[in-house]
Amino acid sequence: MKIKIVKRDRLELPDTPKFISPPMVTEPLYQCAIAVTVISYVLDADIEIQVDGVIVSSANGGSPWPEGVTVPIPNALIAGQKVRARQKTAVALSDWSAAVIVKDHTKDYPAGPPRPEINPAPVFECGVRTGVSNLLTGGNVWVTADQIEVGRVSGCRTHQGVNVNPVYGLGQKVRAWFELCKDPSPPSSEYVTGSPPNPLPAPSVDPIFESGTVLTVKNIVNGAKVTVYRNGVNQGTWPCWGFSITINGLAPFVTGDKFTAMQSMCPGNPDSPPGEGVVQPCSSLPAPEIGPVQAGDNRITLTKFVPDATIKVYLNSGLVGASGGPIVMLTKKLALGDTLIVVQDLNKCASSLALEIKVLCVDPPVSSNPSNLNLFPVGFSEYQNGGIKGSVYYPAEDDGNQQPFNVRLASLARVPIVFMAHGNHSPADPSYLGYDYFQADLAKMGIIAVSVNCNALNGSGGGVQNIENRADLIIDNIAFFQGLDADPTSVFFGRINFNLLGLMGHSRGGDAVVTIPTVINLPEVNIKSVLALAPTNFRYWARLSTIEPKGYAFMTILPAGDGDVTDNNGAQFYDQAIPATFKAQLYVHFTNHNFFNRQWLDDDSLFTSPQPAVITRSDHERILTAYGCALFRATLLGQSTTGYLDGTQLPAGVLTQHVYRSYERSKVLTVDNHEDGNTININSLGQPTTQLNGMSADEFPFDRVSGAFNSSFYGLSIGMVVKPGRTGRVFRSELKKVTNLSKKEIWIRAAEVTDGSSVAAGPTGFELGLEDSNGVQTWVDSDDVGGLPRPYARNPGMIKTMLNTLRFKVPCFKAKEFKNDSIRAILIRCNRNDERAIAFDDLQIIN
Amino acid sequence: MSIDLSEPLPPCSRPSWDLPEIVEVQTLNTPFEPHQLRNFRSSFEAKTEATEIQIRTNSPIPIRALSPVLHVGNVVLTESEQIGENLYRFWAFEPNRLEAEAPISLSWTNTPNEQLQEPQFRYNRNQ
Repeated sequence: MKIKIVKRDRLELPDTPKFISPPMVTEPLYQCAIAVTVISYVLDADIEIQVDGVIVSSANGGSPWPEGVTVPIPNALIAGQKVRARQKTAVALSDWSAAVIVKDHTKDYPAGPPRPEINPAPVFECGVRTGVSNLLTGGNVWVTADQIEVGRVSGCRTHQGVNVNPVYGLGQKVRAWFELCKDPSPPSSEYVTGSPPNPLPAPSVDPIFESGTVLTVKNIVNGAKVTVYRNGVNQGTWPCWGFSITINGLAPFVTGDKFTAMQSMCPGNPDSPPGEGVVQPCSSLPAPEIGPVQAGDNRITLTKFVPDATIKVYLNSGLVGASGGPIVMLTKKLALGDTLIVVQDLNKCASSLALEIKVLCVDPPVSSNPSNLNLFPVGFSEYQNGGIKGSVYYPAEDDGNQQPFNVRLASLARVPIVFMAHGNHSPADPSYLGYDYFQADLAKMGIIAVSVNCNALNGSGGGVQNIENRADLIIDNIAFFQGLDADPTSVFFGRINFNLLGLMGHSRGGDAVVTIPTVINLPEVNIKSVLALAPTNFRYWARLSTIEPKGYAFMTILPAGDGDVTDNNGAQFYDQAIPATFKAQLYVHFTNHNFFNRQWLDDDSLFTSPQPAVITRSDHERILTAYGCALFRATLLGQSTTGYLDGTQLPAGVLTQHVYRSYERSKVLTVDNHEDGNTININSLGQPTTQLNGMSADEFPFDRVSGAFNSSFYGLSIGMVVKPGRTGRVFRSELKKVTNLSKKEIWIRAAEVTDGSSVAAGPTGFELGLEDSNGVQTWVDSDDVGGLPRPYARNPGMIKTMLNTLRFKVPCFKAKEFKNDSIRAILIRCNRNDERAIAFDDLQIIN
Repeated sequence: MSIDLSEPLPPCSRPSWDLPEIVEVQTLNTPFEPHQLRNFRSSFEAKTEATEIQIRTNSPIPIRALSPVLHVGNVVLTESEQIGENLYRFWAFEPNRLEAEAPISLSWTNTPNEQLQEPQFRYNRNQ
């Protein structure tokens, strides 16, 4: 995102007070809901709810942040109804929002509503309010302490505060419960109340500005009471679920007003010291901050703004959006190169600074996190039958060791299963326990997750035989679970669907899980997906053919700072993979080999120093769970999570700025993958290519072999390297026939070529072009689709040219007389004023 | 409020993967018996002839994802297992490629030839 802060008064922005954007109805909405949540409106706007064309409710919205307003409706919703909302102020009336169609929750959640989460946790003695999340809007939520109901909200929002009465005692077992349509969810995890901190910490007050009316107080202990004073005058006391609370409806702030906030818990224990905030003048009001925007968007998402501000959005100097945060709907779709101006205004205070954004072609939004799906309690147990042993996590009736299998889920269908395998490590360490976090994440969404104990095969030796032994042992474990599935005394009796089987292997385990599909011969086993995490490739080192992953979805995660599998051999598997549906490669900067396994404590990146410091162990884990859950949800549960893998959306809470992905779908039109042995002069369509303006490109093995362009290529493919030269060089690749690309994307893998020992100063890039049937050419820069990644600057000799898939949306290509529905050639133009080689592979047209 | 000022904590420990020195080499012309697998046929099943080279080291070979390999001249022996204290077996499946007096050195799987340790032993069929 290209952003800068500019002075507003120079922009001459028009004010259009009668224009406000429509608000948003929170999706999804389900039958039986007795309330609707609306977000993103102007402070204190009246919100009207319309069901099937009839206005059924209205309410004052109050503050749009943090949760919007949840408006009760007179009759419970029915599947198929259309729900819309609009906002009204004294001077403006918005359009209706996009309609949300009411669904039947049993279609999305056939085993019952999602499991509520006490959020934030933990809960404390004397707590007066508990937050519960993972709820369906308009249902009923309640909280129990020692199985006695202590609070309830009917017609809840997705994250609901529940006031607790009587307050919690010490050592009580607290759970949250939910139902919709008299269909109960499983209860939340159980928390036992502990003693609150004593002394309590002082709260903090977020910056507040002249003419504002909303105060946010942070650093609140779970369940505390928060008392606010304004210039020494008590404004009231509010219960808080912890962390932070937004208080609205205060009289407009005056510069210099002093707010103090303190919190209290148990009688007899002292209140906290006060936290203070002083109202700043209007001139201090900053510009808001927003998340990524890209061509085709019709909304912006704010990441930092004053809660009660009206956000105004100007596109090429015209007002296209005005509303409260966190989302502002726009009247126009954005296009590459558009200039957006975003400002925030309080009642009588207009910010003097504005945010200016140049819209890129591709800058994907941050969405939810695919590991967050939480439907079932998680049971677990250890198993052993001779040398067959490990741990298993599964959807259960309740959390804990050896719990019964979840009855409702089991009544619907057999459940998918994933087998995990660790790699070579000291046999004294229980490596198989190192993925418990990933196992639990899969189990809570309805997947049985087994981690095989391979310690019997761990030690100082190695080779292909060791990998085969590991594959053999994992197959033994699969067969063992087939036995449990057939054993009436087992918790897994009749529960497992071996036709929906996934594999995850780490290190040598990754090598083994790539081997298994080529050798397994168990009945009724169908491997749908394989995740190879930092895998070895002993066959490559033994000069045997590398296995081609095929017939299933394949994904590999390559830690760029891997100090053990320094060759990132998973790239070889990616290059060789022929996916049944897709293949994905995540090359992750600032990660090492070990930190994905909780039992592997050394930072292996330090073995091949100098290397940059890696991210924390928990950030490693978030990468594995987010992308791993996306893979297995897509391939085993049939859910739409591949967008996290192809880069069209980013998982929240993950350091995605370090993740560089390659991605390929099956059944797409490959213009050139350079594997045809037909020289650089002919592409994979059998059509001619042309090198113009001094272009010098040729095909090279992207492998550590003689004939490679240099020693920095660690894959197992053939690709094209554009050699350094003057700016303006063009490579032209002709299509078989004139083609309509108007609704398509062009994908190409590309990388800045390193010499293996150093990283050149500053980034480089290129332009991708399209040429129509009249010879009109137009270009989009690689910087407008995310940019060409920099090589990871690790120890000299190990710096890699690692390709990354860039997605060019065809609607971004624009020029006078240019027709994107009649394209005859795709072009690459090197337009940087440097002498850098660039590697390319897999030029494809995507529907 | 008191304000702390401290130094960053030291990083996690670095793994100790430095290879030991070879102190003894022995060549055995024993029949090769591939590991017996229960679920599929090993790709080594057809191999019956091999030369076994045993090495003794002055300390254990560290355990990591990569495996130790034995360089015998230009031939790299990638299949190995531990058979005793500081005692390791490497298999050469093309014994005819092993040249007499070829230098023997131990390295990790992907170590380039130019980074090999100075060899202390040379290959001798009758060693």
